[in-house]
Amino acid sequence: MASEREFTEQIEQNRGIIFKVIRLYVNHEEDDQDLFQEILFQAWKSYPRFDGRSKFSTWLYRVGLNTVLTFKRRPKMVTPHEDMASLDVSTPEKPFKDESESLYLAIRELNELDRMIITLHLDGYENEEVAEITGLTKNNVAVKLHRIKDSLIQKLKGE
Amino acid sequence: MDLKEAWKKLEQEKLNQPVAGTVEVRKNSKHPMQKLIQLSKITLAFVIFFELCFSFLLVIMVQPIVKVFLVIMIIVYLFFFFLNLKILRNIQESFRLDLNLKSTLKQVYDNTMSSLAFQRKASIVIYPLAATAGFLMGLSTEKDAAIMMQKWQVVVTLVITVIILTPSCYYLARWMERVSYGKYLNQLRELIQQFEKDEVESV
Repeated sequence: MASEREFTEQIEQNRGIIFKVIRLYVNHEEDDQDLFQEILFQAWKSYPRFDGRSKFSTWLYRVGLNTVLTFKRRPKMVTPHEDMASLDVSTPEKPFKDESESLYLAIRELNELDRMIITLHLDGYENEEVAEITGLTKNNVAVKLHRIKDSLIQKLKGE
Repeated sequence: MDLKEAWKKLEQEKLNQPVAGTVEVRKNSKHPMQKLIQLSKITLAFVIFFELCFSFLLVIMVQPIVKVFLVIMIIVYLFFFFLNLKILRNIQESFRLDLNLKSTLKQVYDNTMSSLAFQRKASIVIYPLAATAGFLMGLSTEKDAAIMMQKWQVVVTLVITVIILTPSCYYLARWMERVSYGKYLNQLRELIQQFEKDEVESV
């Protein structure tokens, strides 16, 4: 029987993962609280099956992503173009004011699968782990990752 | 731009910031699959309730033609009860959010589709039967339903009732299904297509 205390402790240590998943995939603030609770609920429900073969953080990432992406989410209010308008696209004369904000907006522009692959990569996950989380093959992940990185860098350079 | 550095900064400044109002852990789920499971359980409860009503009517109704239809209704409802139970168990067993995303998406999509398809198929059988049984019971309160059914006007009225009621109830149900699950199914389909597109590209 899974211990509730053990689970809570693990969640406390890794709650940043849940916040991150919400910030990256939820389009409306009203959904934030619902999704946070839902991820906790689904993680607790699945916890008895957690066998420790992967790290808890990887497992929680997987549950979080699955929950958010299979949840009924409100659609984006802002169109991608409007979103991009606020993106501080750099030019040789005008460098980025805030690179991290630009990266955030550029990542949010990607489709959800690409977004997942690049964010897992940036989070330090190996291609094999990304493949395990998404269900893609390792080679597939590598090819996609290369393409996504190129397109992100180009987008951020304002090309 | 160094992506990893920008990402670290983004994590600290934005992504890892707590979501507003995270106070307590809810005991129930708002996940669409959980709602489908709930809906299935409610359907089962209604089927049991109707089975009891039909059984009671079977005892108090005296006209054989009405009794025959009630028996048919009981059998059909019983059949759908077990079918619904099977689908419910299947959904409950396969609904897991700790597997990889690709299989989770397919599992959620397939389960939603099969549950909705079952409701649709059941309605196609149940609506005409229910309409006929109701019609006969209405007739039997005034006159002998078996004798009344020998008149062509009564038969035509019944046929028209069934022809009008069945498709209208069916399309109303489909419309409600689209309102409740249409956008959700599109959302899942789009995600599955992203995977499929990727598979095609890599071949």
